[in-house]
Amino acid sequence: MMSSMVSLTGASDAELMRLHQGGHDEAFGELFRRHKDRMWAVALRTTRDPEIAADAVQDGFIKAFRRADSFRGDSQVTTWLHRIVVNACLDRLRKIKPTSNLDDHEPVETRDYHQSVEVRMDIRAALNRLPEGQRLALILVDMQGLSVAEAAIALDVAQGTIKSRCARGRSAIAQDLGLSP
Amino acid sequence: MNPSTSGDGSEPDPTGVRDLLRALPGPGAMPAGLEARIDAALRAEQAQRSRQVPIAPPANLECMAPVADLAEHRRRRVHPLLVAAASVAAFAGIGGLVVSQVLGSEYDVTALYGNSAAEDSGPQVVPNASDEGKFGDSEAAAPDAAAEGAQSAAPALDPNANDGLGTITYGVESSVTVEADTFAQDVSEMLPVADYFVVGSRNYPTQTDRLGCVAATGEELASGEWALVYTTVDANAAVVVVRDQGEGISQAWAISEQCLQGETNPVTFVDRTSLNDL
Repeated sequence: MMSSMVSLTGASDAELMRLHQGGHDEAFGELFRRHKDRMWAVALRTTRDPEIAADAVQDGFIKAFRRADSFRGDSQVTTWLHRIVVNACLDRLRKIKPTSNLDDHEPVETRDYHQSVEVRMDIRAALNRLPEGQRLALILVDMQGLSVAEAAIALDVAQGTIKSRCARGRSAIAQDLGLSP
Repeated sequence: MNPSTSGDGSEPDPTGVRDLLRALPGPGAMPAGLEARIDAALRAEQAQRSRQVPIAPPANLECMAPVADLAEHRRRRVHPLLVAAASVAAFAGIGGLVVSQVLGSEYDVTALYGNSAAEDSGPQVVPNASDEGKFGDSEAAAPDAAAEGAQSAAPALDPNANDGLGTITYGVESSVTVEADTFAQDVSEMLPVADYFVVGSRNYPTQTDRLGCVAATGEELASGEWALVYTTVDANAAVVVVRDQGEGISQAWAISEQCLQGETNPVTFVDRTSLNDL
């Protein structure tokens, strides 16, 4: 058992997926442990509601577990997971009216970073005012650290669309915050 | 992944918004309670998967493995499509909608649901005694099976043909033509969720596969909007093929998974995972 755990810990995401597809009963658990925090972050940022995010991220992991056979290695496992979790979030958002706001959940930036750019409004509020497509693109690229290509896969749009959404979203936030280039 | 090295990090960010977004503190680790909840759910999924022995259809399973071919199993267990038919029968009783079908008279829902259901709307899925051995030694070759099925299945839609193809026609309340996946949803709601489990390791069907499923019904692709639902029928991997005929009427066929052969053409595929979420 211990040797199995050691080998799983050292396995790549793709190897874990293959193990899971082959019926390994611990491989997906390792994937979950490995990526749960990032998926929680993207769910929370997407839904802005802890309760919806919790349900959505659970939906996403269950769906990923069941749909593992559909993963063919064309993208990174993390990209694939992002796509599933984001879709689960959007599904939840379309079914459930948010009941709480993420503003209370994410700690306010306490460093002095913002003072240097004279932030007049909270950037999260500005982000939340963006159209969904722009907001999701910025969440994935700027906050989750996905590449444009990965975000394009996750959102099932062209890379150019991600670039333009990011550019327009940043511009809108800058305008909202009174930032000048 | 380090955000500073990913994506469009080399693009200009004159307003500094990208840096501001990246500097925002994250929500932190997943709460322990949620982690435990998901972990338990995944273990339950794993336990369910482990209990389910992958079922490979018999190598010589004839392409058309319709509902009606599963008579032996059906006699031991209520068939989900019969549940579906019964559900619609009850629905029809309330909404004045029609549930009808199918072949022969040897086996009907009366035995399962009592006379009232049968008298009210009469959904009957009937195996043909002559088809009892279809899981036997038939040499129907899979690649050509769809075409053969197309030829042999068409008469099956004739109640008098009695060749073993079970069909359930059910009505839905709306008279408006709805999307194919709506019909898939109808089916999913009527079939027990327990029947949507993973059977072995299987990739999503290709377009080729999808058309083969339609061909196996013996109907023309252009005769309606089609949706496919992976499921199991009495522990056999199967595909439920649903046709929206418009006017709020659709039909469903339960077909052996080995019918996943055919030609290219677009057919909607609704995977079982999303159906589970309905």
